[in-house]
Amino acid sequence: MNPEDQLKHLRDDDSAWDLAPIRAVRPRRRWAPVIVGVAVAAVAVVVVVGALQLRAFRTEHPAVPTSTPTAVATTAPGAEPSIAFDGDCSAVLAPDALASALGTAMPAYVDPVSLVGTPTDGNGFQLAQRGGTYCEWGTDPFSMKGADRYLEMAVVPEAALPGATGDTCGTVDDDALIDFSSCAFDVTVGDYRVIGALAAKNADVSSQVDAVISALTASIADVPAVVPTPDPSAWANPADCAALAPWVQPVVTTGVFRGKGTWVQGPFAGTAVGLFDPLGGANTADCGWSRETPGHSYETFTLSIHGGGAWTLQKVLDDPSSGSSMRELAVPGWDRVIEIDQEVGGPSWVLQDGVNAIAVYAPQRSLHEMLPVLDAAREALDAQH
Amino acid sequence: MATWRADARYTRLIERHGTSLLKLAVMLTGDRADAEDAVQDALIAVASSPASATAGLPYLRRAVSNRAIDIIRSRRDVLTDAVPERPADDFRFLRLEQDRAFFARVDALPVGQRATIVLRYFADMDDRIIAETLGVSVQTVRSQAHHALTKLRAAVEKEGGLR
Repeated sequence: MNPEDQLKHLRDDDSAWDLAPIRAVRPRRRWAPVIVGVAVAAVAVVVVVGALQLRAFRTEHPAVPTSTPTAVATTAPGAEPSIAFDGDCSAVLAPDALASALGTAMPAYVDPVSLVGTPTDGNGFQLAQRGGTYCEWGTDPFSMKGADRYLEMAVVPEAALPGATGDTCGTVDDDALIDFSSCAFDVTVGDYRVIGALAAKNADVSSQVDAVISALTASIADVPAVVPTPDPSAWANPADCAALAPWVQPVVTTGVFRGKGTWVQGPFAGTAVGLFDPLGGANTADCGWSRETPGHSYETFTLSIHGGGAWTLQKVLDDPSSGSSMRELAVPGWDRVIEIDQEVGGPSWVLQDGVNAIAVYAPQRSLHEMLPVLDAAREALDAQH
Repeated sequence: MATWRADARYTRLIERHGTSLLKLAVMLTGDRADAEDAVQDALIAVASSPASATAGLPYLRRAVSNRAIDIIRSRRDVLTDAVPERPADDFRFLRLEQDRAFFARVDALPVGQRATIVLRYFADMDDRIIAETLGVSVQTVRSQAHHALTKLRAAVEKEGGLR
């Protein structure tokens, strides 16, 4: 039996289980509202005290390497970039044109994908701030699993994301397509850079990619790029995570971060990888730190640098579907701070500084505790810019 | 009064969906006690919210999944996703030895991979919902699912297949 069927067997066959029914009474939970109330009050005290002490707290953190900060990345965000084709995928590729290119109808996904809706996902941030549009089509518009042909692409003004490779049938870094023949493409079409992939079961897709790109050319090659086009040269440009370490490392060896193990920089599981990585360009980086604590558990935090992320932050806030899980906090020294309730693993915070944003995820820390780290990261970015 | 109403709703949700949700939570946590905590926490939260009046099984599954994943992430190495392997004998909530052996392999997967395939094939969630539940991109969900299935298939082949 394959793993999928084995999981379904456990789902459907009650006789496989030896589980007593769950108890319906849990008196200790009656205290939950009281505990929550106390916790909220404590957090409120911390926030108020933290706000009052913030500047003093900042001055306490140790001196960082003295590379003279040059340009300070606090440029005002400026005019908001437009989104290519207003996000309308039928304007990128009309249904008839796509069907003609591939010889079969390919409905767009009914529920348009909003990569912006996952603000801790660097690709989503970068797509929106570069004025890009993301589109998906499939022979089964409701389920990737049911589709035998699948096309996805990000269409971005090339001025906001130069560097197309010109590849029309590269390896698709999407393991879910393992049973498909697939081609990744990264091409320039008129004023746009188009990054995407075509995949099909039981078919050679390399010639079909050419047909898709021809159809794209006919559709958008003469459409001028959106105005205003984003200008990445004004954004933070984190060369790599190691470049942050000289600033961040001294902070995490002092104060509340001291003791209980040595902090090391390292990769963090769970960040998006693959086909759309180029959307990040040189303006994004996910940088993780960790330390082993007594009991063989780990404490970790991740700083996600989003050069130019200010606009995406605004878009996320404007998205009515995300409103209930976010709230704005007032933190001196930062233009805007958003707390995002992720439901899983506690909140994350996104802090805007001029055109840039830094998202921080620190499951065992408060925002107040993380502020010296964020300040250090900001100084590192300013020095690199 | 509000507490009483929430308790009554909670009891009804437990009666109606408790076993099904407990199985899901066990699949995610690998531990009966943690699973029960996850189900109870999630159902109390749902019962205390306006959503309880209309909450269907998919909604409840998602609430339980969120809580269960929270629990396993809090107790495991989230940096490397490393999971200490436990003997199949630990999984006495399954009657058959072959099911326990399979569960041991699932339990040994990194948290993200394990959650992804359980939500996809056990909870029957769409990749988009899984992505929202886990707070990752759809691309990551697909990648995690592939890695998990590859590992499980490899383990089955190495051991001569599940019978």
